[in-house]
Formats: sequence, structure tokens, C-alpha cells
Amino acid sequence: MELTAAKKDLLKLVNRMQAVAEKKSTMQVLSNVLLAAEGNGQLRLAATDLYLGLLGRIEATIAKPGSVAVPAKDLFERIKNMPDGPIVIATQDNGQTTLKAQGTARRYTLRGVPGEDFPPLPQPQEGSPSYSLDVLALKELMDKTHFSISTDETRAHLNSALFEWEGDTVRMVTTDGHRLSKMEIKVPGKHATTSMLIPLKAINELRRLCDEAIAEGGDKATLSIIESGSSAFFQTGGVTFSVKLVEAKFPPYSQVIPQNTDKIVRVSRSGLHEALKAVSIASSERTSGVKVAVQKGTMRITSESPESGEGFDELPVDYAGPNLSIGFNAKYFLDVLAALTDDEVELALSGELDPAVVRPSTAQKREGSDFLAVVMPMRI
Amino acid sequence: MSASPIMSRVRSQDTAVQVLRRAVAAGSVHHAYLFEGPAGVGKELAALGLAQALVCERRAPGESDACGTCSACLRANLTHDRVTRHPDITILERALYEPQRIGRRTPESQDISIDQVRTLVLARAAFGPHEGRAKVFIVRRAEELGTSAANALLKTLEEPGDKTHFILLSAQPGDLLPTVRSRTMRVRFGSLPESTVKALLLEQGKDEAVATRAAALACGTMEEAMVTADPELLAGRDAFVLDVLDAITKSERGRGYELAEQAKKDKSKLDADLVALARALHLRLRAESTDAARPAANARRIAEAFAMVTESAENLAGNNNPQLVVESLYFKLRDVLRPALGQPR
Repeated sequence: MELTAAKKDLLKLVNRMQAVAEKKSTMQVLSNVLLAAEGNGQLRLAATDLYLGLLGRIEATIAKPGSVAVPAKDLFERIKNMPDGPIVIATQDNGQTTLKAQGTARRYTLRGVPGEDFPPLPQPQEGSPSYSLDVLALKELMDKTHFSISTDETRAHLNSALFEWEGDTVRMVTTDGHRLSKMEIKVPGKHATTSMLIPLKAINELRRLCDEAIAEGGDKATLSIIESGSSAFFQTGGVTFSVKLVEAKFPPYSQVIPQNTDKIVRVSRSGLHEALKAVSIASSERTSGVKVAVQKGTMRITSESPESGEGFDELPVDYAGPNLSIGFNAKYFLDVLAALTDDEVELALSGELDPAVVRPSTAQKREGSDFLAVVMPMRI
Repeated sequence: MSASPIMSRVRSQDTAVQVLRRAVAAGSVHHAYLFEGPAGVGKELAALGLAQALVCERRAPGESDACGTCSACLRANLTHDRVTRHPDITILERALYEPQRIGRRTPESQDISIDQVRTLVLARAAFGPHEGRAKVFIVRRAEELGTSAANALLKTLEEPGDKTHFILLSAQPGDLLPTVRSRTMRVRFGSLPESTVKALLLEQGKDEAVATRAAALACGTMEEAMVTADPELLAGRDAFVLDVLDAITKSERGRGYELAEQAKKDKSKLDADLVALARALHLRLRAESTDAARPAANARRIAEAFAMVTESAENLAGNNNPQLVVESLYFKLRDVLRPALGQPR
């Protein structure tokens, strides 16, 4: 294989690749990135950890087609240290790969393995359903829900986010068993029906991908989602990100969302966030438990723990119902409040041991978007 | 690497191979097999053959064997690291992977750890096969699965999900947890006929005389044949026997401690060494007891020593400290053998 490509293009793509390539896999070859020079003047790059895969192409002048897989991190560092301008990449039969900055003496040699040893990335089958979605919409779905994905890798169905598309509504739901968040966005004119479970690791990479796509293509950037077999493919800005979907059943989340919440408390989002944060530093480190007591016009937040003493704060709320006092994990509320941008939020409560619903205040509800979070109470 | 299907390289295991080929052709490959039989008779080759047939890109439904030539088939062959390059064929074995790759700090010196089961099996349980055809897990020396590792595997072993297959290999299936055994379908592999062992040795370039002699001594397994056909390995094993006898005839006991010190370094080698020692004692016993001129007490002493060595081997298998096993064996042997070797106690 022998080719010439611009440092700028290579650096950007290899940087993305090394985030996906697995350093500590039991399959050594997965720490590599595949470089495949194709006849049509393009260099194809691929990296995978068997769960996520990233495939990208850049323009290159191909002198001799071929392929090689070289350690991703090493390649990235070497390209980074090359002077700007074209870089010549050439391989020998044994996988030895030489990088040379054109017109200078700087040169690196890397030990690689033949491209055939690199596991092929999943490919969408022909005729698979494909959907187009605004990057901004996908980003918002993930930003509003990612924090309540369970980090327990042994429970794959909770260690992932449910992505659903029904009619012109896209929805993402996540839960870890103690809390749940659900975000819905209307995408007028785009109709589809699908449901997939995207693992946490993929959500983290997808968020990065969306940020980059917005940085490059602005708010109007779109991506296409292709569903094929047990994988989903997200294509934007010249790269294809493939995700192995979780083959498990997400809990029936609609049954978890309480329906008869009659006590509605309206409160300033930033005010509540600040008060909770302040009081929770005096709560038990293990449980972050705080007691939230509401009465006409005020909310009192208290915490006490044997090791850190007591904390107390009070803030004005819009509430006219009977007195009620519920224990919560403050962190769960803080996560929700931090993800929202609205000025006022609404807590919908029913009883002392019933889950609470947090959502943007109805008065301020934005057209076409619907968010709610459920937080389970705790005994304090 | 040869391009024939791996299954066709399995020798003299016609029943087992037929069972597996039929299952592949019928599309009814069980989700958990236990291949049992002595070490070195083709269990692993058959397991790889089955895995290859399951991941082959060109095998049409109804066909019983892999094509052997497509990219997936080629990658199903073992590399020099004793793993495959196919992402859907995963091999589990004690100490096969560096500890940090499976999320451990210390090497797996005792058993296949729960960490290995977690990183290699459980983490992938919720996902389909990478290349879409099948996901195969091969467990070498499955009796070395630790209790917690085996228990962690149970649920997945029972209901592994679509297109997922486990193949457990074991020469001591009796040592597996009964809960694991009952979840697997057994396929038996017998000892190889002497002619097969000889033919395989000849294919590996051994000369006729060596192959004939080694095959006769190999007890029908290639593992043993590889040692008996290799003068260096054989000499290494004899060296231990000679060392022990030498240490016993010496009047000072320091040499015995040295042997014990060496033994703790390599547990797997010690096992083979003890077998060799038992075998040497056995030969000696036969010579003594057939020679009427020798005192009968000698034969009795050697028989006693033989029993001590086999007991030590059992203790070792039961996870006793190798150094202590060798040390206590040395002193016991010294007591019974010194008179038989014409030395004062």
C-alpha cells in the first residue's frame, strides 16, 4: 500500500478512531486502526471494539492499493507530530508501515498487521430502513436523559437508552431503577416507526459525534440512522458510526410514570438547584438523602446525618395543597435540574412514599418538546 | 495455515465428528457442549471445527462442514498466541490473557477467574455476534473454572440467547460443578489408536523409529506423544526423577529443600514430573518383584513409595502448596527408600 493524504484530514479522523479503538481488549488487533487504500482515490479508516465501530473516508492519492492495521494511539501521536502538509504512508508485506512528511526528513516506522486480520465492521444490508433526523434533536434527546442510564454493565437492558420513533415523535427513555427520564421531540414531516436499545458507551460516543457535527455543520446538520440486523448505523459528516444494539427488553416504562399526582409544586429551577446543592453537602455521603417538606407557599429542605451534622434551607414555592414531606436522593434531583434549561419547574407529588415527577412548568412548555423525570422517594 | 476445514483434521474420532457434523447440517447445534476425553486427542480441534462451521461465510444451510477458505474460516484457525483472529470465536483458558486485559491485577494461578468470565462472556451476552452468524465460546480445561466463575456462567450457559454456543473442553469432567455438567450436552472423545498417533508424529517430521517408540508409550494421546517423541522434554522429565533419587541417596537433607523450592515455581510441570516419578518407581517395582534374588522387603518399600507419589499428585491436584507437597514427599520417600537403595536411614 502506498498513498499520500493531507495531515489535517488524517489527524481529525484518526483522533476520532482512537477514541473507539480498544486499548485493553483480549483481541490485540482491536487496539489498531485499519487503513485501506482503495482504487477510487480514497483512504478508508476503521476502528472497532466489537460493540462500536467507526468508519470514515478521506481523500488521498493512491499509488498502490492495499490495507494495514496499525496501533491507533501510536498513529495519532505520530501524525500529530508531523509538519502540516501531505503525508506519505507506505507499507511493506510484513505490515511494517512508514509515515513520511512530504518534502521533509521526518519519518516514522510503525509495526502493523495485514489489513485482512482486522475484523470487518458490520455493514448495513441493502434495503434496510433509513431515517433522517436533525443532529440537534438527537443531541437534545441524549442531553436530557443520559444521566439516568444505569452504569451497571451486568444489566444490559438498563445500561442503555431506549430510542423510539413513533409517527412524528422521537423519544428517548433511560432508567437505572431509582429514577427515570423521558424526552420527546416532535419532528414534523418525518414519520417512522422504530425502537432500539443503545448502550451507554455508544451514547457517550454519539454525544461527541453530535457535538462535532454541530460544530462543523451548524444547527441545520442532519444525520441518517440506518437499522440493519442487530446494529444501527449513524451517518453524518462523512463518518459512519455503527452501534451494536442491546438484545434485551427495556422495562415497561409507562407503568412507572405515576398518573394521579394531584399535588403540584411550582418552583424556580435555579433556586431549587442551589438550595438542594447547598443542603445536600450536609447529607450522608452514601445516600445523599434530603427531606423535602412542602406547605402553603414554602418548601423546606433539611438533611441530617451522624457524620456531617445538619443542613437547612427554605425557598418560596407556588403551592396551595396540604402539608407533605418526602425523602429523596438529592443527586437524582440535581441531575434533572442541571439537564433542564427552563426557568420554572413543576414537581408533581402524591404521597410520602410515592414517586415524584419533575417536568418543566406547563406555563413555559415549549412547543413540540416534552420532558419528564421520575424520582423514587427514600425513607429517611 | 492449511485451508481445509478444521473438522477434517480431527483423527480417529468418527463418532464425535459425525454427531457434530450432523448437528451442523441439520441446523440443530446445541447451545452448550461438553467435549470430554483425555488431553491431546482432538477435542479442541473438533471445537474449533464446529466454531468454524458456525461462522463460515459460504456454508449453505444443510451443509455439514465449513468451506475452509473464506475470510471467516481462515480467521477461525488458531494463531501462535493460541487464540483466533475471529471476533466471534472466543477462547477462555486459565492464564491465557494478561491479567490487566481481563480487569485483574494478579495472574490467574489457580483457576479461570470470574473476571475472565465477566469480560469475555457476560459483557457480550446482551449483544449479537459481531459478524452476524454465530458467537462461540470455547473453554479449555473447563474443570479449572473457579466456583464463582462457574456460577457466574450458569445463567448464560443455560439460556445463552440466539446464535450463541458454548463448548467446554475437559479431561476431568468429574471435576466440573454438577450444575455446569447438567446444562451441557456431552460428546465423548476416546484415546487415539497407536497407528494414528504414529501417523501424526510422522506428519510432524519425526523419524520412523522415534515415532514408533513414542506412539507405543503415548497412552493414545498426542499430548503424551509430543513429550515421549521429544528427547529434550523427555530428558527434562527424567531429570526430576534422577534429582529426587539423587537427593534421597545423599546423606544431608538440603537437596530436598532445593527440590521443593524449584517445585513451587512451576505447578503444571510438577504434575507431569510426579507422574514420571511414579512411572519410574513402577518400572523398578516390576524389576524387583520379578527377580527372585532380591529381598521381598525391597518390593514392598517401593510399592509404598509408589503410593506416596500418587498421593502427592492427588494432593497437588487438590490445590495443596506445591513446595510443601514436594518437601513432605521427599522426607517420606527418604524414610522408605533409603534401605531399599542400600543406604542407612
